[in-house]
Amino acid sequence: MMTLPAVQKRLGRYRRAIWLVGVALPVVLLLAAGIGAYWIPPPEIPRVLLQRLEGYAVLVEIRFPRVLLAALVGATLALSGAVLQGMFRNPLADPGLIGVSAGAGLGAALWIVLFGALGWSYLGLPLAAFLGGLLAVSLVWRVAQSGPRVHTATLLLAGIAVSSVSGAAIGLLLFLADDQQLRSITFWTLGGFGGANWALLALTAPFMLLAGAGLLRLARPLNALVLGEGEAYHLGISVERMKRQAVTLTALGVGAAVAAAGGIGFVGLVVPHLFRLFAGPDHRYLLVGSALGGAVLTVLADLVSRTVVAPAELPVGVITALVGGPFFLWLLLRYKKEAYA
Amino acid sequence: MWTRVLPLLSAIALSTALAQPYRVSDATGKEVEIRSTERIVSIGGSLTEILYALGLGERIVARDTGSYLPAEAARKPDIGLFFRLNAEPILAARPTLVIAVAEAGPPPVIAQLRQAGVTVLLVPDEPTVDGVKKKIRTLAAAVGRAQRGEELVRGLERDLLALRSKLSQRTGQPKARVLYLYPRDPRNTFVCGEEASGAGLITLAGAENALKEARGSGAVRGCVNITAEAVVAAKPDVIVVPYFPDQPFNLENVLRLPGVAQTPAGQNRRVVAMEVLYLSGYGYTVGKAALDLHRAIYEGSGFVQIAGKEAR
Amino acid sequence: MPEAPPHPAPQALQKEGGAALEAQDLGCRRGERWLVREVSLRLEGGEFWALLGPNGAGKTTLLRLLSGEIPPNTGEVRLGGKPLERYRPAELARVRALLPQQRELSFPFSAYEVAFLGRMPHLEARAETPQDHAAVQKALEQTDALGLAERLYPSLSGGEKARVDLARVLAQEPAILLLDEPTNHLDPKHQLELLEHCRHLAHSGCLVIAALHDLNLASLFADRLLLMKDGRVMASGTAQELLSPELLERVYGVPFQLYPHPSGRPLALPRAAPS
Repeated sequence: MMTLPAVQKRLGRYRRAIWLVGVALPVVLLLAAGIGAYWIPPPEIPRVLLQRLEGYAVLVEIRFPRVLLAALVGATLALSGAVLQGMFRNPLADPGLIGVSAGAGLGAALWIVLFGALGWSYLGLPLAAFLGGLLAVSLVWRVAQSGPRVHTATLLLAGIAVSSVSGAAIGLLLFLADDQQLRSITFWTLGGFGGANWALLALTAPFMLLAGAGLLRLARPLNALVLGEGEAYHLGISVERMKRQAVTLTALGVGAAVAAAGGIGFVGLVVPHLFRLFAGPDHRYLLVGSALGGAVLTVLADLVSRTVVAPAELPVGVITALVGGPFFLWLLLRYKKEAYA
Repeated sequence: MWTRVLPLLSAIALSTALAQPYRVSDATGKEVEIRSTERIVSIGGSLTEILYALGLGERIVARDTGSYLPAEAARKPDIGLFFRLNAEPILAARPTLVIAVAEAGPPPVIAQLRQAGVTVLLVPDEPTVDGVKKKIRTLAAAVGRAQRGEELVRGLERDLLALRSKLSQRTGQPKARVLYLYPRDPRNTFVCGEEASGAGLITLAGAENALKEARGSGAVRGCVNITAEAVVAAKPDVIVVPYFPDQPFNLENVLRLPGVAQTPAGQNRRVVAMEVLYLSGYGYTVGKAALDLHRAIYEGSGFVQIAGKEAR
Repeated sequence: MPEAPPHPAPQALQKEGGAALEAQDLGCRRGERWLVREVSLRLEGGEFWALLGPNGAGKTTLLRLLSGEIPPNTGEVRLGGKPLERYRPAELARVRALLPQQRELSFPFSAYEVAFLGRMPHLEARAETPQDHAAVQKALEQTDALGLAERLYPSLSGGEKARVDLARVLAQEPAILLLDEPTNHLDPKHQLELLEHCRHLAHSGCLVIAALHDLNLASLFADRLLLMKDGRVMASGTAQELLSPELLERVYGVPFQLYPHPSGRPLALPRAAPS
């Protein structure tokens, strides 16, 4: 039997979208690796690298790990956002919904206030943030758990509650903080990739890669969950196991991402929506597309953040929101008839 | 010219008139009448130091968090950060006079203090050598110690003279490129350019701010977060870092800040850590501070730590 | 490409003793209230069962218990002699499908994508093949929904959604089909087509259980009826055996009158004073 032309058309849209971001990512990575405040003409770069000329250390020790970290963090946030939107069956879900970002923020703020802005141990701050994020998620999970089941609506509410309590605790710490610590916490919350180096990457990348690999496997169950938890069960999905995997993996991935780069909003919420608008909601394509798209968007935003006011740099979160917000609105207006008719 | 001569004249005039009240012009150019110096709240690290040097430490009843030098000052009640003042704790100290740096605030709190009948003197506080002299003279006049004030100014001029002779020995030699780095958190390299008030001592000490012209980008003037690549492009020979007496300082963490390891200063571990008030407070010891910094940059090697004036 | 068997699940089940569902002393409680209690029954492949009863009789809960979606508070359900909880969800889904009453989609999938979800249990361990798409298209044709394939599911009318959903459970190719009020939202033509299809499936070996509100459609199409009230099974049997004015009044609380139908099966209408 011939496949329906309509089905072919839809499939074509998915494939084109994946192909587009798949090609865009290496292009954007090369672009970001070639441009920076320390100007090296792009045609010179291979020679600089091969002959270890002046600028070699800038490229290898500073720029490359930064670009890679931006790509990994962007991919992790967007992929986690897509998975949580699917799991909560709520298009407004973002990676911070289960409390991980707020918990990480609290961990970081606590570290800064306890150990000072100058006395930081090098990897102590990211570690404190990572643990804070995981603790917050496990608290959320315990609240939502009743017997063998976890009630998704309660999970969502508990996430919101734990996030706002963490927010209030950060507020209290901000009040207690001195001028130095205040600025440190603010800078940390804004997020950015300025601290990227191979050591930080080695510490956080394994968690993000592990989470990414695990989350990509949830595409099929998430498709079934579109119909509801009961229907997903009838289609053969172990719904509780899937939720546990989704929450654990996003907590690990987003926890590591936030620990490495601070809070970078918007990517996790919007990239999955962009993919749905351009291609469609099938998670088998959406998850891959979001991960690639998140990497592209974040690497570009970081490129802007470190070049547009060079030698100074803007917080990445500000750029993702400033550029992505209006773009997203425009897309919504343009496609709302088609997508949400 | 007049800004230098006027306070001098008024200081001399006031020192001869022994009876209170004293009249001085404040940071906004307005004349302030000071009726009593019995109970003083001092807001601003450099002001508190000068008040102690003028011999008025006993009269200080409260101070801001930044006023921790000399050590006796740190034992006075702390009324908070100078830019986040509250009227009540200040009034609770029952001051007759509040002496504050020009940037103290927020302004409504200053207004509240004045409405409560307290004399508030906002002291001119320009981050230059002349600004320091004006600051000393204004304070000295306000508390009726003009003569002692002139002694402090002469001491400052002696220090500057010693510095000038050091600098003249170096005529024709290239200046060291110095990066003023303000550590905040491991991810951010926060630096101050030439025109930032905190970094002025570098120029005074005869070095060049490394951000005067950065490769491939414009100069950095104020304090800003810069990318690691710009740190490398600035090619600093020496890094100057303020440190806070109440917080631990860790050299390794400074060397690990983004971009630092790839600079000449980072590779040679040429870091000068200087007590923050001494480095950027523009107190009456600014001449000594500049001299100390000069020696650390041109005569020191490796890591140099410069404690506050208190220790000497 | 390897030929995918058209009905792999039922065949697999045959080895385990046929598509027979057994319930033993089944009970389900929410707080103090028993939604289903003391239900014991045995349902075999080859029959079309209609589940009847007033609102709140426990029809939906019984279907969810039989599907394994909710664990019972008392008793157990066995499929092919093995308790449901000993099956993995995916194993179960290759054997039985459930068409729910409520349909809401969290993201705008197309009608075809929704119907294709029915193939999911079969794609647990293998990639999709053209045969999977063929099965979905056939199911969409059977429910007269092929023309809707390209449309986005949220933009469909209630009846159109119902047909797409039915196509989804048919594409699942189950040996046991549980339907919760499948005729809701459907116009008379599509109601008849649906019930005829259910009967056809049952007579080709499947077990079909449908909760219905329309006594007469149940009488005309179903092989056997199951009457429920207050969570208990009041009676079960053929339409001729079961549809008596006394029993119906006991179950529904209103008087009924029976009318003959050319097929020989009785029709039942509540006795109402004509206006």
